[in-house]
Amino acid sequence: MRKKLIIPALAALLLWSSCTADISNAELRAGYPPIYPDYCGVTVPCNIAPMHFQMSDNAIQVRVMAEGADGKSIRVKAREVVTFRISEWKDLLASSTGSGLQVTVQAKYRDKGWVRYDPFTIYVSPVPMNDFLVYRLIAPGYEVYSKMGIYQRDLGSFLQTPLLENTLIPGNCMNCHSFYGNNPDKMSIHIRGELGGTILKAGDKIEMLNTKTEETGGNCVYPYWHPSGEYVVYSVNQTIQAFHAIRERRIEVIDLASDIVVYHPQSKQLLTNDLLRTDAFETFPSFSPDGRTLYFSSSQSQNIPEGYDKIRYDLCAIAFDPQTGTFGDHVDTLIHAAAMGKSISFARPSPDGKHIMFTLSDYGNFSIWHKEADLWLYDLEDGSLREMKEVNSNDVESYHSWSSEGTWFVFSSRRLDGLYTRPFFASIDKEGNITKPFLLPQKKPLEFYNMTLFSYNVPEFVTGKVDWDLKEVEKSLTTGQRDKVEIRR
Amino acid sequence: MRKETVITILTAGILAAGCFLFFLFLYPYHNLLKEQMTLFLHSGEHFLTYLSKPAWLAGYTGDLLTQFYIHPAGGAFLVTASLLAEWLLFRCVLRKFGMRSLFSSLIAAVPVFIEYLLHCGLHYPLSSTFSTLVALVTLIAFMRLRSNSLYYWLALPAAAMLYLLAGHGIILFTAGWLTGGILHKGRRWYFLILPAVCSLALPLLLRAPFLLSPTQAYKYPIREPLTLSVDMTWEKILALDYESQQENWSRVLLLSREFGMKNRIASYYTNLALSQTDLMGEWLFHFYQPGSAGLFLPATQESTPLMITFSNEVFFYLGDLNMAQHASMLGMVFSQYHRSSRLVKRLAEIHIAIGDAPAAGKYLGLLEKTLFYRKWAIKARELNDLENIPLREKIPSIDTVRLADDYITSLEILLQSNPENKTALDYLLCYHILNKDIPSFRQAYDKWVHPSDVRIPGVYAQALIVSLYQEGADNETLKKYNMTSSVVSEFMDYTRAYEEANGLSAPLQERYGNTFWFYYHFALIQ
Repeated sequence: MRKKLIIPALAALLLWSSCTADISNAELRAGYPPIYPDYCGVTVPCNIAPMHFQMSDNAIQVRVMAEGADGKSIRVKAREVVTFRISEWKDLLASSTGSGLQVTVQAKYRDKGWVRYDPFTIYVSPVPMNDFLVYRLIAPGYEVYSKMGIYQRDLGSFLQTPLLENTLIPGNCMNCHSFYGNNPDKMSIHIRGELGGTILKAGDKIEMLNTKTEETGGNCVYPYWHPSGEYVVYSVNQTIQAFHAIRERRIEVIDLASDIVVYHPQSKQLLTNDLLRTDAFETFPSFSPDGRTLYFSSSQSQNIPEGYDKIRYDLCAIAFDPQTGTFGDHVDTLIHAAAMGKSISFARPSPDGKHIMFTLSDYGNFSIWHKEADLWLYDLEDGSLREMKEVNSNDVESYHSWSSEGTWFVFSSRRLDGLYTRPFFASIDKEGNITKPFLLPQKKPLEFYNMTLFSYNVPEFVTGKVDWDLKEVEKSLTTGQRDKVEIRR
Repeated sequence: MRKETVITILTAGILAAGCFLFFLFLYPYHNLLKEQMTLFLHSGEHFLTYLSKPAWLAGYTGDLLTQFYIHPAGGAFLVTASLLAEWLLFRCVLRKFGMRSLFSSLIAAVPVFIEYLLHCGLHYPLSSTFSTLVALVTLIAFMRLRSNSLYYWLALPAAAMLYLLAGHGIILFTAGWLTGGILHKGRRWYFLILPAVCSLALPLLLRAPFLLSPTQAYKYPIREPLTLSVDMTWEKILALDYESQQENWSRVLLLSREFGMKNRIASYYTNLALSQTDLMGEWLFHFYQPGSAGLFLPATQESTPLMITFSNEVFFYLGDLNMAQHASMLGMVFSQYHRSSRLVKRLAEIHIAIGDAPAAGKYLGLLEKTLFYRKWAIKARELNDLENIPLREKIPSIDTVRLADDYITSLEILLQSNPENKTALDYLLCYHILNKDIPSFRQAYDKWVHPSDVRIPGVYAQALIVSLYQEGADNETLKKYNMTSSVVSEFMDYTRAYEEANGLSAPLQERYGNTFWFYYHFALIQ
């Protein structure tokens, strides 16, 4: 009997000693630990989900201590993924708001034993970002579709729930989604295909629209809500998809024609103006936070496809009167990008109206496949331009949107593997300081991002969970009944 | 042992052996395709993906075992074993219903035969058979319950669990439970109807969180249209497809000759094999040609999912890797779980050739988590660091943009960047030849083929002589093009014979059926 007890006890002692004995002698190594995702020195909002990570090298064991400003700490031992309990993580963030967490990583290697890296800091901003992120998951960049969906992710946890998947409406494609001022109650989604139409959700009410008119010649595509919620501006695009020959470039989506219209849901009318429906290409519209200016990208038309690389979009603006739904009598060019040999897409004004964030690429509007595409900031007060070097990489940075408080923004980047876009978050303060971006946290980040074969497309912040009756949406889609919209001049 | 039992076992054994041999020797390529169109990863995250839809257990187990379809014997064994298990379980259920032994064996063979026919379809998954097996096991467990009240009260929770674990098996279970309740437990039908209706309503009630349409909710894990037949046409096409992937080009040509199919996909693979064996210019018209449609398969809204899957092959061998990538990604999205081992492997090859190490690494990382592609992926990682990759030389260095079906621009760009790209040259010349576009052929020939002492391949000579004849070329020009007197005299013979035939093809078929001239006059381009 004694023998039976002694042997397991000795084994346990041996195991314990093997785990602990050599750690105090860990070799110190200058530099931050090689972790995935790279969270060293990032700034996070105080409401972010636990930022699990793992060693991106061949470490066989990891010990981590995350220490808050008040001395509270979490200790984690892991073989693979360093995970933090959600309650402990929330406590730690709460106690470190305005300062940061110091994370010390010790890793064990088969050949070197234990190694201790320089501690790194995760700064915790007191400003929370919006609680949810809505995005489309789609195979990268192709026009024939089989599987795609729009999903919402609780940013304080790992919960992702679908808003709509095209398994419900097979053979149809879900286009851009847009929310009224990050409000989950008011949204617009366009569906392409046999059951195509524009879904407009306002509170519990769901409307299905046919936005194609003889005069506009196509459906409303890229949406942006007016800050009053009374209007939605859309571009109407006729596009083709074309393919590059060389290995450095891949796909272009080129406008054959594009104009801008403003939809007034109350009267079911489209407002147009000759200045927004010219022979030039007008696209990617957005409203200023005061609702009195309409921004858009505009390019001289070119012969397609041979002139594809001469299409360069300037950033333009036109006055808009929300009371009457009328437009100004002239268009201002805010940034003459074509003169710089560049092209602007996705102009998104900050909620405080001080900046416009946009994507700058060499030509065209399909910046999502342009490796040179980067984020830039236009200062509306002094008219200065600034490259957002803090967040740009050698690969694509493209679609971006603001959190409602105007500090946080999310953007799509292909920096991880050059193929699949992933959402990154960063913040900008009143002085214009931009923080190092961080990747959307996942339970098992490396496994998750390596395994998924879908891109995160059009990431948009929302302040709460989008709550809609999926059966009602499905019914509205499948009945085929669509409210016609009319043109108002 | 009773004589009846011996006969039953013997018959079942013979049928099982027949089924195994059928899938091993006569019908292996359907199963090989099914393996290629799934990607089973040994990882926790992969398992979690099954939880987003019903039939967790059936789906996961089915796909886990589908990996073994990689060898024809694996596929044949698994299909046979699952059908045998299904027959035994059906038989057991029927016996519980009170059916006599021999009769129950015969009746049980009916659904199994239907299942066998379903397995002969292009997309029918093993997970669907597992769904049926789980339903039958649950049903048998219910029949063994001694307590009638448990039989009644446990039905709905069991059905709900069954739906989550096995999907469409809930229908079979409910039908069996109702029948068993009436026949075996002696319950009145109206007493059982409420739980049965509730069970059958479960897929409708649960479909919203799983984002399935009503039809999908009842069919899951079956996703594709069902077919109930042995389709030897597809089996032959898949044979050509599989042998092409293995680069067994001679076998592709032999099979193509043997099958003699008039099918666009068959022509597509035959032409690819001809180009890879350098025989395109000689033997093009020894095989059925549906015009230039037999050279490329489109990846457009109108294409079938399998056409899209196959369409990357020619672009890959041409060196047009952007188009190959486009077709591969689309093919993958259209596969059952939007993951395909074959296409992930192809995407890894494409990105290795492009020299895009991070993207190649992503796909190789996926393959390293598989059972059967792991070794390949580890070996391919070494290639990822190499500079001299033959396919890389073919990739265009001159840029343009073209539409997905603008094949001529693609081929011209490939040749401009690398005039030694023989595959691109053959495809360009044959594209014009198959479209009967003599001026374009001549233009391409003059631009890309350098007259030399080397003999002009037969088909090209036949097209060239037509062009030269049309322009009234003299002997000097014929000599310049290295045109042999035998081609000239054969052309004259054909022209005379054609005039004598008064527009009929039959008199010319035997002697000239394999020539461009005959194709030019008599082929109807699709």
